[in-house]
Amino acid sequence: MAKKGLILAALAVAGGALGAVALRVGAFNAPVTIGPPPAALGSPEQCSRYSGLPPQWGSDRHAGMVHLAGGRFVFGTTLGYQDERPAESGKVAVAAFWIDQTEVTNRQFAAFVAATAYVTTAERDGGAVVFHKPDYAELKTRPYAWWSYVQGADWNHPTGPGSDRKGLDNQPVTLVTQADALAYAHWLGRDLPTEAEWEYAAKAGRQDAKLDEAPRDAAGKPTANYWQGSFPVLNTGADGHEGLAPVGCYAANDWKLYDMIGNAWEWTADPYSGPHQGHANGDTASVAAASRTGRPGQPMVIKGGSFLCSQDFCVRYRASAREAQEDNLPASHIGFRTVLRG
Amino acid sequence: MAAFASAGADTSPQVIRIGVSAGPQAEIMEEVKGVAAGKGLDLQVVHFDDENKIDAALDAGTLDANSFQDLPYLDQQKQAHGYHLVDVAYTVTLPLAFYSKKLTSLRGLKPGDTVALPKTLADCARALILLQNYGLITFPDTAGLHATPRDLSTNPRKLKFITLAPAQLPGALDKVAFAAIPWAVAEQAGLQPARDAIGMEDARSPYANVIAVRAQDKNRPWVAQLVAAYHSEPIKHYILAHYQDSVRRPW
Repeated sequence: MAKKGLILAALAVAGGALGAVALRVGAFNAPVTIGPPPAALGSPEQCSRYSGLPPQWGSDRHAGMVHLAGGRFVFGTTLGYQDERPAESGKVAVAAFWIDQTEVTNRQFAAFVAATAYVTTAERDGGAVVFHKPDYAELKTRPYAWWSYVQGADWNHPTGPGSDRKGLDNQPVTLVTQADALAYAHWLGRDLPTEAEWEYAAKAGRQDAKLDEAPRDAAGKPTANYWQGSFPVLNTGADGHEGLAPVGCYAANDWKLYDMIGNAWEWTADPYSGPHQGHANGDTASVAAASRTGRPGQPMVIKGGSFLCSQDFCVRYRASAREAQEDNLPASHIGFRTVLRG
Repeated sequence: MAAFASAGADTSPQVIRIGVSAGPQAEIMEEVKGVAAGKGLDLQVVHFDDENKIDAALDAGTLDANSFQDLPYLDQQKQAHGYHLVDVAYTVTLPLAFYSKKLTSLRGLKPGDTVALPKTLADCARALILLQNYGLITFPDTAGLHATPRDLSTNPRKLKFITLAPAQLPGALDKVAFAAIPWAVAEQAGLQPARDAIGMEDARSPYANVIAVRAQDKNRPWVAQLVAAYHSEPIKHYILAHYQDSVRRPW
C-alpha cells in the first residue's frame, strides 16, 4: 500500500478555521464537523435539483466541505485484491483535514476555468479516453471496445466535438488529469487527498466490505452508482443511473461524504506503489498506447471505483480498492475531490 | 468406470467423468463438483498429466466431458483427428500477457525496441493479435489466428521481433523491452498477469477455454446441469477471489 504523503499523528482540531456555523454531527465520537451550510443532497430528487455549486461558494473557503478530526484507522484490507493489503501491522494515523462532501462538479470546474482561463491536458493534447456502451458486433472487433481515444473530447466536450455539458452542471467533472485536478485545488488554496486521507474519509470509521460485495441496502437496492447487469453491454440501471450521476444522489456515508464509492474514480496525490493489480475493466492505457506517443504517465492512485465497476469487471466497490492511472491520461470515469489540511 | 442407467429413455450416465489438466482447470472443476453435487449431479474429476490425451479419451468415451483447452485448439484437434466433439460453454481465459523488466507501460516503448515472442505457432499468433489489439502493429485479417511476424502490414514503431521457445521467454526479460509470455510459462516463472504484466488479454479472447463433450451428448440434461454449475455464483466468486483476475471469466 502506498504510504507517500501519509501524515502521521497530529490530531489537530479545526479551531479558528471553522466557519460561522459549526455543528458536530453523527454518532458519539464521530469526528466530522460541518462548516458552512451543506447542500441538500442524498436522494435522487435532491441531487437532480442541485445547481452544482455548494452554498456560500465564493464567499467561504470551506464551501462544500466538512471537517474531519484526525484519527487512526486500518489502511487497506485483507478482503480485497492483492494491492489492497495493509502495509502496516496496526492502524495508521491521519491528521485533521477538510474534505469536499462531493466530487468536484462541472459547474465548480467551469468557475475555475472562467476565473483562470485554465486549459486542461485534454484540450492541449487534443483528446481523451471516453467510455461508450458497445453492441455485441463491436465487442467482437476489438478487446476493450468500450474504451476509445476520442479526438476533441475534454471536460467541456464529454463525448467529443459537437458535445457539450449542457444539463451536466451537477455531475462530477471528468476527463481531467491529475495536473488539472491539482490546478483546480490550488486555485482554492487546497490540495488533493493522499490515499490515506481519502480512504480514512471513505471508511468513516467502518471496516471494509468483501471483494465482490457490492453496496446495497437491506432491500437489495444499490446504494451507490456502479454497474448492475452484464458489463459492458447490459446495464439494468437498478441504481437509477446508467452513466455518471449528479453528485449526491445516494445517502452520504457516516461522515457526510457523498459518492465515495462509485460514480467517478477520484484522483489522489499519491504514486501507485506496492503490489500491483491490473484492472480487468480494460485499462484505459490499452487505447492510449496506440493513440498517444507522448511521455508515459506516472502511475498514480485513483480511489472509489466508478459507474463502470461491476460484478464482471473492475469489482472495486471498497474504500480500500485502488487503481493505477497514468497521471497525464484523462478519462471519462475519473474525477476528483479536494482537501484542505488543518 | 461410470455406471449407466439400464432402463427408461434417459441413458445419461449417473456419474459424469470430466477430464481436466493440472492447475486452474482442475482447481475450478473441483469447486464445480461441489456445486453440482448440491444440484444432484455427480461429477468425477479425472486429472491428466498429459493434455494431449484428454480429447482422445473423450472421443473414445472413457470421459463424458473435458475442460482444458481453448476453442482454436479444440478445432485443430477435431480437424487433425476427426474427433466428434463440440464446445458447450466457456470456462476461463488464461491470459497471455506482456511482461517487462524495463517498462512500466507500453507507452514507454521506443522506436526499434526488441520484443520477444513465443516460437510456437499458435502462441506466436496469439501474441501478435494482442500486439495488434494494443495498436502496436497491424496485419491483414486474412492471417486470422495464424499470423506470424512475416505477416505484419504496419509496424510504426519499427519494433524488432525475436522468437524463442516459450520456456526461454522469462529469461529473456533482461534483454528485451518486453516479452509476450503464455500463462502457464509465466506461472512457472512466478509471474501473474494481473499483478505483473503491462498488457494482457481480455477475458473475451478468442482463446477462452471451453467445456467439450461428444457431439451426440450436447443436448443431454446433464450438460446443461454441468454448465449451470460452472456458471454459478459460487464459482464466479471462487474465480475472482482465488485468482484475482489473473485467471479470467468470459461469461
